[in-house]
Amino acid sequence: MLPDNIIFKDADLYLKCDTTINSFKVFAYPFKDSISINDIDLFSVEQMDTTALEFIGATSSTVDSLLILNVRDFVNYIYLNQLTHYELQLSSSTGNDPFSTLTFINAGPFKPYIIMRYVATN
Amino acid sequence: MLLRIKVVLFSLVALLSVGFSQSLMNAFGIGSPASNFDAASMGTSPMSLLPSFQEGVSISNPVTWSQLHYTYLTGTYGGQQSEIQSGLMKNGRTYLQQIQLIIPIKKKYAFGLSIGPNTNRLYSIVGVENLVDDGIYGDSLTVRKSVSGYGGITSLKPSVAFPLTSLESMAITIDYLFGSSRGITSISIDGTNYIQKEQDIYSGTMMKLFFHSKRLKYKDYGMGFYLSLKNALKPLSVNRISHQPFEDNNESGNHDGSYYSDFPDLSLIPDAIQSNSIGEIDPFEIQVGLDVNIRPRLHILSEGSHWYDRGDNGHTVSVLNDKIVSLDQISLGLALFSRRLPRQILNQFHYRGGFFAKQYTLYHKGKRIDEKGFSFGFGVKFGVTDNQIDFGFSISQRDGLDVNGELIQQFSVGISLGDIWFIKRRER
Repeated sequence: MLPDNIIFKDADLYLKCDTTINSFKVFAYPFKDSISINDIDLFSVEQMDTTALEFIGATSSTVDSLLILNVRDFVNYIYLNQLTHYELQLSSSTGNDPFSTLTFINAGPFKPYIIMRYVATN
Repeated sequence: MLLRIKVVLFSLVALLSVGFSQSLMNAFGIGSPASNFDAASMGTSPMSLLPSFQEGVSISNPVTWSQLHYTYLTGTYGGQQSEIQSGLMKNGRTYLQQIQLIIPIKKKYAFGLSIGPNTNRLYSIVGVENLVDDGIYGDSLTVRKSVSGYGGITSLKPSVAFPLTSLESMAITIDYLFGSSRGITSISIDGTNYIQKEQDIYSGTMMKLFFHSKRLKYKDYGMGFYLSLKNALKPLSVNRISHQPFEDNNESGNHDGSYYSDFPDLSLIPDAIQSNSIGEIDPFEIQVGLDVNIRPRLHILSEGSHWYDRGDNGHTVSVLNDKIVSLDQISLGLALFSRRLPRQILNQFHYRGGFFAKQYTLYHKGKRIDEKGFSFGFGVKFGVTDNQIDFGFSISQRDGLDVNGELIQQFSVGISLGDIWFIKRRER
């Protein structure tokens, strides 16, 4: 349980991926509504919740096969109860090579995780 | 998405080792419990119970007011300067100490009303800069914490005095305490300031009983015995409003700006958190004083007092997580009063001086803070209604805090304007 009156200094989402691409961009944005995991089509795009932020993170490389997204603002607005849904949708930048593939791994020891640093003034 | 969350928390309280401070005493509890003295009392050691304004009269002791010949409107303005580490750090301020109306009635009764600051929470403490290694992120951060506050508690005091016998009299003061103060905590990490602001709102009622007896005598010396007891009718409670911390990107010190300025956006924060009764101050005080009239117009004045706080959580109000739990004070002074009808200009003056020692005790640390000093002052009467201007000066040294050898200089100027109320005028 997080204490009252804190502010996040850093919050990074780590996603394990498998790729040979050296340069690419991935965006993430919060949902306006929740969706069923079974209803997702491969290229479906949900409506973004632009209440607090339009998109999160833009990365151009991986570190140790980990894609790192800066989700500090997203996490902080969740903490402040300013977002109604906590899901993120990933989106490829239109500038990426359309013939390359980036695979995210969400199994075994390679679950996504967040590392956060917050400042407590008390 | 199932997420594993790792949290790195900065425990920054430990970083508040004091590098520089202003009025550190004001940061304990609700602030220092020292009283606000009128200018005449400050010159005489300082002490509030014993007569120092005129012979037999203390502006700060209502039981003596019936001795006044006129109704008085009194205003006191004061200033304080403190020097830390042999003058390397110097801070000062001036402030209105009190405004008071005193109405003596038929030489038996008196009524008074005063308003003035009761407690001062002006403080500024800047911690030393620390380099904090973060093993999880694998970096080092330069961190400095600073806290500051301003504001305090105001006191509105109606008083009545009345005789008990031909030699004893008594007075009652009800002390309504109210006001608010602001606290600002700022943590600088690698040059970016994270700021949180909070507001404390105070409310409480105290009662103080004063007693005076002229029954004591020693040889041919006239003696006056003075006693006062102070207790809480409604202990002082503190309600706190805590605002959401913010990243001060535009370095304005305030939570403002549009989306690309301070974070989080001002329009996307919840209401401030209100916490009621986060601290309670329940003081008891006893003061005893003796006034010995050794020669005509010349008085030796001696006073002692013990103040302590029975509240159990007043320390939580403080950024230092501590409070002053007791204050003991003794003082010895000398006063030479003016003649009732002076013929020479020097006889229009009151002369005052004295020594004092105070000892504060901190609640958590059990630490004792000693303050010793001397004071002097004078007053001069003018006009047919005994108007009076008083000056008081006090110099003391405080030891025992994290910052030792704090030299405190105070001055106080009071002007008292007399008028005839409730006194039968002679027919022409």
